[in-house]
Amino acid sequence: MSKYVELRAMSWYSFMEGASSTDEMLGRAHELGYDAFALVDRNNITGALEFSEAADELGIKPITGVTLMLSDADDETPSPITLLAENRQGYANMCNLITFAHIAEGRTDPVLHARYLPGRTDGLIALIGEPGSGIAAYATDAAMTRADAMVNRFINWFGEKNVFIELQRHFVYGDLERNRALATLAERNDVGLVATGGVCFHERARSRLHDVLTAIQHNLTLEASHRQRKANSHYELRSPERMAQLFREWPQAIENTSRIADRCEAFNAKQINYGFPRESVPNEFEDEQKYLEHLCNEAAKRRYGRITDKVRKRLEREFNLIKRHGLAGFFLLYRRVISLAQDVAIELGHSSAEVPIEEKPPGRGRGSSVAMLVGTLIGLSHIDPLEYDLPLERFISEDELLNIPDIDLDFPRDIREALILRVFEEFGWDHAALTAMLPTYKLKGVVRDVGKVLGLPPLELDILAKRAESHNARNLASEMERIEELQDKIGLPGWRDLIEIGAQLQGFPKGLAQHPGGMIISSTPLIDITPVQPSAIDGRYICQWDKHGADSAGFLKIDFLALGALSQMQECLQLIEKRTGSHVDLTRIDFNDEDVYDDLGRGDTVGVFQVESAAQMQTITRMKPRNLYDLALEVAAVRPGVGANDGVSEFIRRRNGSEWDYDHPLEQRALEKSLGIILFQDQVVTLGVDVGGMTASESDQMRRAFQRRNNEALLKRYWERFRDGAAERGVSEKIAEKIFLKFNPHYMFPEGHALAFGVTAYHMAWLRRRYPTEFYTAIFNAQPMGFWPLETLKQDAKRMGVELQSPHVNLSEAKCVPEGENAFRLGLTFVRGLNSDSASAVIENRNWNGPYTSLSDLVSRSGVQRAALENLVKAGACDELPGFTDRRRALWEVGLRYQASGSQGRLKFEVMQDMAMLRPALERDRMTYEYETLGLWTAGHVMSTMRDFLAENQILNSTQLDDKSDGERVIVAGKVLRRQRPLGKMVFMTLEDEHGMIPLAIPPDTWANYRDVLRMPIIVAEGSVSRKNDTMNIMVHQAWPITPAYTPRADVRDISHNFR
Amino acid sequence: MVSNPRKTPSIGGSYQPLNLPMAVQVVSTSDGQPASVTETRKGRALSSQVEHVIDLWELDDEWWRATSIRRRYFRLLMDTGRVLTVFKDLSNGEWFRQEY
Repeated sequence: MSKYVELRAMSWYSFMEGASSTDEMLGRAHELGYDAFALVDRNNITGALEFSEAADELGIKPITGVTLMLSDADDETPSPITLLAENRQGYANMCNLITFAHIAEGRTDPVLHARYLPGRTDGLIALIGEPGSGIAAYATDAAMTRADAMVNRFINWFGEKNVFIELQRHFVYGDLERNRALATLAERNDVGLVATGGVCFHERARSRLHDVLTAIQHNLTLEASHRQRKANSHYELRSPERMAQLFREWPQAIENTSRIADRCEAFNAKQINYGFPRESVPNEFEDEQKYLEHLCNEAAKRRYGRITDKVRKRLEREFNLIKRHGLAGFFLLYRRVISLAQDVAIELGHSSAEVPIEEKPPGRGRGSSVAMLVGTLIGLSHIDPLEYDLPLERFISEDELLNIPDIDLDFPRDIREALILRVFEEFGWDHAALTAMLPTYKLKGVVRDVGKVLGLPPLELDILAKRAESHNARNLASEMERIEELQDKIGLPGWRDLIEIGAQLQGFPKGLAQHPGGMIISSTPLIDITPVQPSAIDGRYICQWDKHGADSAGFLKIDFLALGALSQMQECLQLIEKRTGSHVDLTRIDFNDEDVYDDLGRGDTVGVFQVESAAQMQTITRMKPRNLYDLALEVAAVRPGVGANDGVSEFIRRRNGSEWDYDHPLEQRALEKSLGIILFQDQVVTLGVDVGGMTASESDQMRRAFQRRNNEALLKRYWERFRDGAAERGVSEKIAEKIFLKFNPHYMFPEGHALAFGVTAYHMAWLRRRYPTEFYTAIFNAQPMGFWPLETLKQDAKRMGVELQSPHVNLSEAKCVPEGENAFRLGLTFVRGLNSDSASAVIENRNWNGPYTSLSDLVSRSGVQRAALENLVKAGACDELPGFTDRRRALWEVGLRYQASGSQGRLKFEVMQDMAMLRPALERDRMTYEYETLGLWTAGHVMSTMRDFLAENQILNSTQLDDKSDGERVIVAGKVLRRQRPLGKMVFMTLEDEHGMIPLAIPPDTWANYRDVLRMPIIVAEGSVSRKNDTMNIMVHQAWPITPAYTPRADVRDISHNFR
Repeated sequence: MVSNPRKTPSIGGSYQPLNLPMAVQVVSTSDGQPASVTETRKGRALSSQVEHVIDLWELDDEWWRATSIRRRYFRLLMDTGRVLTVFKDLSNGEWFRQEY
């Protein structure tokens, strides 16, 4: 007898219906001796490629399929159906049907209407009669004639050899009766029977997790989800022998599993059959290649005046590579997308039709694509690769093309939003889709979702979710152990289940979401190669592969990314033009401005793209960049892949004159520019070629291999290849190993990407230095973005001579606007509770009917809700109104005067008789009001209110640290801006006071002792000054909380006893 | 189903429960299937032999409670011609009769 093959297993990609990963499922299948296996997730094939790759490695034949709900006009309710792809045609039809199930019925509850089946069933095998289906119900209820009719409809759609009636045995009440009825039905209609496991998890121990997922899916507790949950735990993967035993009454149902598996081709990326997009070309050109070459040559003449030898040689080399790999259509497609972006930029007033696209590209290229001159000439990038002699290999290799080159484009937010919709309009949802993203369960989500279905107290769940430091739900027990209120709950029922099931749920995908900007465009209908479904945002569509799936499928992916910094830059330039009347062309500014490099070298970089983080500030003061390439090195250096081998410190040492040499002279070409240290991805590829004797594509595969999961065996093979190649070049094994050990899995920038970002960083630093008012206005308006909160940006603006003015109901616009050369005014939308509609209402009424003449006038005319009016008062936006005396009194007055918009007869009553005698608002009240409604205090800083008290206690401010030497003991205080734990050991914090910032380093034992204090918003810390390599930190020994000045002083003094 | 099992008694005090499981004695075969069932009625023990196992099913539920439900049910055709449903409580091995 043939061996049983499992044809119906759901993985975690069935989202809430499968309780095991594809790896777990396959691992168990391998243990149980399966030779073939079908993954049939609910409504999607997201796991199919990952599954097929892993199955190949285990020697299991992968079969791909899907489980859908099918609605037939003659049937009352949708019934489940499983489709298996027999071949390439079946795969394409399956993708079509999945797409129509999502498109026709809506995003959340896909149902396939039977009208889509005719013409789309070739190459598909249908399994029908699953428990819960209409066929099973009719057969069991002895309504055989109706069941016959349904079976016959399936036979008409799929053909009788392609329809199988499915038997399942889970030891659920009624199984046997149903199976016997279905067997009779099959015999009556002469269709095959097939046994399946209806597998939901790889082992029975996962059934509890499955119950929890079911309850989460239906938003019910476990108690309330009895009807939705499975009756028992027998939905695990069972051995072929066990299945044969369970179905011994119907041996043909077991034999048919093998027959079906034999009929289905093994699924792999080749079956997807993706071809690079092709573009139509004008008649006068022979083909895409010739047209692309023509476009580039014309652009080169415009850019360089003429085609120089250097340009010609580079272009010839790139043209040859493009031709060899058949990428001309790929680049023409990109050009078409860039032209669409240019159209959008012109419509939004950011560009002009007269400016050639290569002169002012609408976006900025990032990633390794920046290395292509062709890219620069078709408007993909704003960097000239010739100027920096950028190597091509990381983007496109001379030999075979094993991975499709990625092109990533940054756009200002408004252009990107419009461009995505424009691409859908241009190509249609059946030819263009965004890639998917798979948000996964981490500790907080686990606590909230699992805790809720277990019925645990919401208050305690909230404490755990908020105070846990780890993101990994496998650490739930240790996190609870650490939180005092939860320590005694660890072993209690419910909490014990949360810990056990939470650990299993860690990393589970929650569903398919939209990638921020990764888009796939195809010349052939996309829905023949991947299912497409609507995203949560109207007008957008996503395919069912995430980034990795799209990569494995060989799709050409364009990343449209929104970069807040570009939005900021764009607005900044518009504000400058508005004030000065002249347009600043950032391509023609002075790239050797000494003042700008002085700012960068001092770490005076708040708000400057890429170099504003605490880590960048610490490094840039040691690197002291003096030109654009230095800045690219700086941007590249602070990356995990460089830091992993202490590369940053060593690079800075060498840059500052420390002696060094290559480990082998063959490293020179790769590492010359970065003093023997690997700073860029490209350098790994070049080392593989020059030292390991690999081809460029092979070396790039090695680089990628470091980032793969479970890569030990793979890396061992690459090491042997590298070692042997190095030996042929005269490199000893010891030296080869030393070089190989420099490679790591952590992220680094490609060189071109670092340059592109370096140039943007310089643009921002230059604007900050030369046009600070417009710079800060624009950065406020571009929030949320960057690294620092508004208050820090306000303090930094002040240091740069720019004052932030309070919001003002008669002067503020919706957004921030400059006022003169050295000030800007907060916009009304910055006041909590005022969205752009309510801010517009205030402004429009003012513009039409004149400025507000009193608080009463504002309340009656503006039409703003009471809470928003109160927030305007608290934020100081009414301070300058005629007759205004005080914010506390004004709040009372708003309460008396406000009448809800729906109330009848909105009359102006006299209210002064009802005014209470209130004490006027003190400075501390105004400060609290503003922090509450604006997130900042326009007039000062919270630390200044307690400065006298701090000084009395010898607590230093940030400027007093300048003359403290290494090892000196100090006490400091400040508002906590940032906490970071880059390598999971030392915690780095940044405090802010009214003068500047104070960097703290907290050793693990101090963190353990003072964790709760250090998580408070304002703290006092005692420690020793640590000065190393031009950087300063306070190495913290102890910490205390401190409350702001509005707390009665006696309380503050009590706390202060702790640190006297 | 109750909203809070920790505060709610499993059976409402004023209601008369129906179809409560009744303890029976079962002799099993080596593969765990019932061979004979002995019921006690009005103080008299009545035994019958299992002719045929008609169906078999299981329940796993309420694992989050202090006492979970884990039962294996058998629908049996007895030598008397009667059809009887019994279950084995898998947590303690005891047998009960209960119509399903």
